[in-house]
Amino acid sequence: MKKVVACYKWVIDEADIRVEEKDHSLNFERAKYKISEYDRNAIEAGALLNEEKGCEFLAVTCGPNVEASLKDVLSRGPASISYVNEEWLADVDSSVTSKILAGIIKKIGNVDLVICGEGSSDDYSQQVGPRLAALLGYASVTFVNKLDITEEGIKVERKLEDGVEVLEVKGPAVVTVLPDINKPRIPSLKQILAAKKKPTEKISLKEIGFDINASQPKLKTLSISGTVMERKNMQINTDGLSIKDAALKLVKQLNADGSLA
Amino acid sequence: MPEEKFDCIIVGAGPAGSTAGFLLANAGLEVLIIERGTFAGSKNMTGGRLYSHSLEKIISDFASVAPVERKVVKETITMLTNDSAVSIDFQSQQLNQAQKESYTVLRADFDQWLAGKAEDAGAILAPGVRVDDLLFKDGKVTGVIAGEDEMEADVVILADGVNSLLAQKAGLKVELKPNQVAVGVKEVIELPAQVIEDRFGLNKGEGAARIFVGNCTKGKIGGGFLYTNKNSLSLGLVFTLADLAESQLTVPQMLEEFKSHPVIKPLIKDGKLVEYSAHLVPEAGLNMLPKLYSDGVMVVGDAAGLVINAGYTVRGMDLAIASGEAASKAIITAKEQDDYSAASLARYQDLLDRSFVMQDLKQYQKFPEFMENPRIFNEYPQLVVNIFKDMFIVDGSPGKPLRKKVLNHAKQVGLVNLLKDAWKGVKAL
Amino acid sequence: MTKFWIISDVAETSYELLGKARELLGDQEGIITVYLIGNETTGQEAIGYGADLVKLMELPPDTTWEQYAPVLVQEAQASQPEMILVGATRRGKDLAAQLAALLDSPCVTECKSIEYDDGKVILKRIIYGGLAEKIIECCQFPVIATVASRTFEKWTAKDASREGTIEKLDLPAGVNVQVVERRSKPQEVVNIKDASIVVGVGRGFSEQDELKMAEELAKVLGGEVACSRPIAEDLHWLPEDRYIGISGQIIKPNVYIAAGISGQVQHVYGIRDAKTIIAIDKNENAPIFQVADYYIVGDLKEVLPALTEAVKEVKAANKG
Ligand SMILES: Cc1cc2nc3c(=O)[nH]c(=O)nc-3n(C[C@H](O)[C@H](O)[C@H](O)COP(=O)(O)OP(=O)(O)OC[C@H]3O[C@@H](n4cnc5c(N)ncnc54)[C@H](O)[C@@H]3O)c2cc1C
Ligand SMILES: Cc1cc2nc3c(=O)[nH]c(=O)nc-3n(C[C@H](O)[C@H](O)[C@H](O)COP(=O)(O)OP(=O)(O)OC[C@H]3O[C@@H](n4cnc5c(N)ncnc54)[C@H](O)[C@@H]3O)c2cc1C
Ligand SMILES: Nc1ncnc2c1ncn2[C@@H]1O[C@H](COP(=O)(O)O)[C@@H](O)[C@H]1O
Repeated sequence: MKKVVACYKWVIDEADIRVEEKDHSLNFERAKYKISEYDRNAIEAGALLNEEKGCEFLAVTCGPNVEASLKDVLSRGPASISYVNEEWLADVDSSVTSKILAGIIKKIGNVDLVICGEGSSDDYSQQVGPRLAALLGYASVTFVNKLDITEEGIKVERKLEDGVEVLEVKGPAVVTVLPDINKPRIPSLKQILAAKKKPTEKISLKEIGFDINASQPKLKTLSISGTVMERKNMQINTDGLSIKDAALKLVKQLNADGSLA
Repeated sequence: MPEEKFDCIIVGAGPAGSTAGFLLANAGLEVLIIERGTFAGSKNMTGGRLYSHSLEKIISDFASVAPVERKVVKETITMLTNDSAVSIDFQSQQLNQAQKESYTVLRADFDQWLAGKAEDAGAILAPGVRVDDLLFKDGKVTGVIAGEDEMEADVVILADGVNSLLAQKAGLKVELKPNQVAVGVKEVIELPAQVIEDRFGLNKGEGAARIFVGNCTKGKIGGGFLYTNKNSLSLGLVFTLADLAESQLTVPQMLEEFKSHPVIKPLIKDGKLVEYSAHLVPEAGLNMLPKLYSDGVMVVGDAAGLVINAGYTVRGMDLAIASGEAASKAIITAKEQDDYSAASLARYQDLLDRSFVMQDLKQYQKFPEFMENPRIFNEYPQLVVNIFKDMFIVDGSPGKPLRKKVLNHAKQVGLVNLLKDAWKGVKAL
Repeated sequence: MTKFWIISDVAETSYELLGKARELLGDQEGIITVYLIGNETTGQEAIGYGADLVKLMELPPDTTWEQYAPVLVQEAQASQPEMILVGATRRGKDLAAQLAALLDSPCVTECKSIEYDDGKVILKRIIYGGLAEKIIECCQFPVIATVASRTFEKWTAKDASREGTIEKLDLPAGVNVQVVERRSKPQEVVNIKDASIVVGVGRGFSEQDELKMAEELAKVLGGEVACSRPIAEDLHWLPEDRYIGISGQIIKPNVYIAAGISGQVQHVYGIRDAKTIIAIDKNENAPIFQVADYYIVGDLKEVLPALTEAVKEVKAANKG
């Protein structure tokens, strides 16, 4: 039986972040965490390989407070989750993340296929997938929109700027998937209840032989500043103005602004 | 065949459902709480002030651990006309006494906390799932249906809020009529804590509750409220749905106008809108009470219409919590006797009848009718404002004696009406 | 001696990166090596734009371009470049990340700026879907950075007679990825980047047929239709180079009209520099309104035809 692992990141929902007008700092006060958008597709891809091809399907993650994500992710298909939960991971770069994930995947052992999202919702570095491939010695295939598992490896279609590549990979691989590869499920009641019974494995950095001192982040964040847009924010159909009249008012306004020329 | 069966399934993780879930799980029952929102509280943006007494009985000193915003120490009621206002302040040590205190809360945080307590006690919470229907066997409710899935339980608690379709399916209540519900709209407007404390004259951590009647609803039945949270204000309006149909303005327009009223505007100045929500409020009180239980099923909180709508202010969370408690007590007994028939669950009604819930509802029974009198929201605020205008606005024209001033204004409304309404009001309370 | 590397599967981008590398190098003595897909002519062009050494690669017919990674690692270990700039195409980003892992190097994706400061490299990039900009310091070499096309300018001191060396780079043998088929994408005739008025459509359109309303409005305005990512990627109603946003096109039209687009940061990033933004959404709380100059709360099925009529009317009046 082929063994498939999906990597997902537990991220702050960027829609909840607000930019302070006065100093452009970011306000995370109302921010909630979510499964990184395209990692839902990665998880779904694994779940489908399990349901349709009988693959064994697991998930892995690392980060601060990832324990809050486990139940939700388990209800989306994986048989178990192996994770590293460390506060220290709050501000690390892709080099650290990929080393830890590679450690977890090696510990799981005999993994045939690793599925990542195309990029994480927060950083969107698009590095962790190919970095993992390099560290594990697996083939790297990014931006995949069709994925099938075969006897020897996988068959995929990847989308690039100039067209499509259909590829066959022999041996183990890491793929990163595009959002149009599938439609992530909304877990059903039974799937949610089943998730409560699935095991999870908390892994320490020591267990995977990760040496914090030797593997510090290589990049240092100097500052983060939000971008603010100054716009007029004028509603046209106020005071009970009909849509027809509002449309005319708007077009006249544009005309007056010289925008129609 | 469902492979597992729960002692109790609760639909809805609002205050009513989570309280019941907490108490049942604490008593060792197998409980499943199903919530359609992605997390408890995600859809419950409404509400603002929690009277602490009922939760205090269940989790003592909850306010020291729960995510409450501010303790209310200052109550103000303001009568508005289109350009003026008269306010009455109430500040009392009584507001501070245990069990009498009230807190402002933001539901997204508070509901999540309460549902978390239920989970900690052992209840299973399934968020992101909507219950579509009930399972019946021989006329008895035996579980729920959610999407493709069926799940069985000895008893189902319907804590699914004001528009409980499930209570209708269970045959406990009929569809809501427009005059039985009000609409509430609310905005959360962010401001720094310091600004809030300065503007409302509060000490650090203290809160204010303000209530508005009159112009804010354009003379329609209803009113406005403003509660201070830690770093934000909850500002909203409540009005009757039936009235709304005739209104020229849409709900968001009414709220916009309310926000630009000269009295409100400075209170929310420089604030940033962070949340907007609209929600129904059951408002006919006892007059619309459904059947509260049947074989294998009970209905609690808003779903049962257990809300006191005093027109300008809505009180439902403390009743929801108390009804969740009463239901769970009845179930614990039912479990001991292994009897979930209507006769056994009738205990729930008994407990409610003896609690403040029914007593308070009775007290307000006539109130909805009383409130349906438009004078309350139109002429009277104008009357009060006019009287005060005469008293305080000095423009050099010769003054009249106070008694005359008051009577002059009262005449416009009609002295008889005034007395009639006053009498009705007293009776309603 | 400072060594810079440039790698790109698109020759044009490598010329731009050369411009940046030349600027960073200044009067220092250094060697710039360019790895690009192309022939002698392309190589010569690169030398004109500032390359000292060009290593020609090919788009291998039976495997992926990223299979060059192990060869590049060997070369990097031998020549020790200080900075490696990679063209941020999808292939480029994949290759850059693999290189970084194999060299145990830092890598910064899609940089907006790269500067030296006191021996450290300071880079800027966009995070949180376009909501914020992050400034990053890096003092471990080689620094790998990917850069999108049109981020930097070509070298102004271009000199066609510059001299340099051109070599060929061979692929490693025994690769495990096999190309079964390559299908190139049909060239888009419409270039939404040049349009002065753009009508953007989003998931608020419930059927493909409804796009006609947007097309008509665009037609009377003399503009083009673009879209949000899900319209192109999930629904395939429009070609992929028509979606706007952080991972799509960045446009700077005179007028952008968003219809049935909720206004998530990732999308808004692509219209930030539009002169006027107009939004139509039936949800009065749609975040798009917060970034719009003018907006109408309403059903697009009603608003779009009304706008089309209004434009006709006003244009007729302008003429008359
Ligand atoms: C504008 C406004 C202001 C208010 N102000 C106050 C106030 O200041 N103080 C106060 O005490 N009360 C106030 N109330 C009333 C108070 O909000 C309610 O009485 C209280 O929330 C009732 O709690 P509940 O648990 O019964 O229902 P709810 O809080 O409505 O919870 C019901 C839950 O059930 C879920 N649900 C519904 N259907 C399903 C389904 N089919 N499947 C699964 N889940 C489902 C919902 O998502 C929700 O989480 C106010 C109400 C409004 C509208
Ligand atoms: C890493 C990453 C990168 C991304 N990059 C991009 C990108 O480059 N570009 C991009 O666009 N997205 C991008 N996205 C996706 C983005 O987060 C949003 O999901 C997407 O922009 C939403 O598209 P939408 O506004 O069309 O759909 P929705 O968010 O579903 O909005 C539809 C809107 O239509 C309104 N509506 C519905 N019916 C009607 C009607 N009849 N009349 C009027 N209004 C109606 C609704 O109220 C709603 O506001 C990215 C996401 C991630 C995680
Ligand atoms: N902390 C993490 N834990 C698990 N997977 C991750 C983590 N960070 C990134 N990934 C995976 O790598 C992909 C690309 O991430 P990034 O390189 O950050 O854009 C994501 O879509 C995930 O699949």
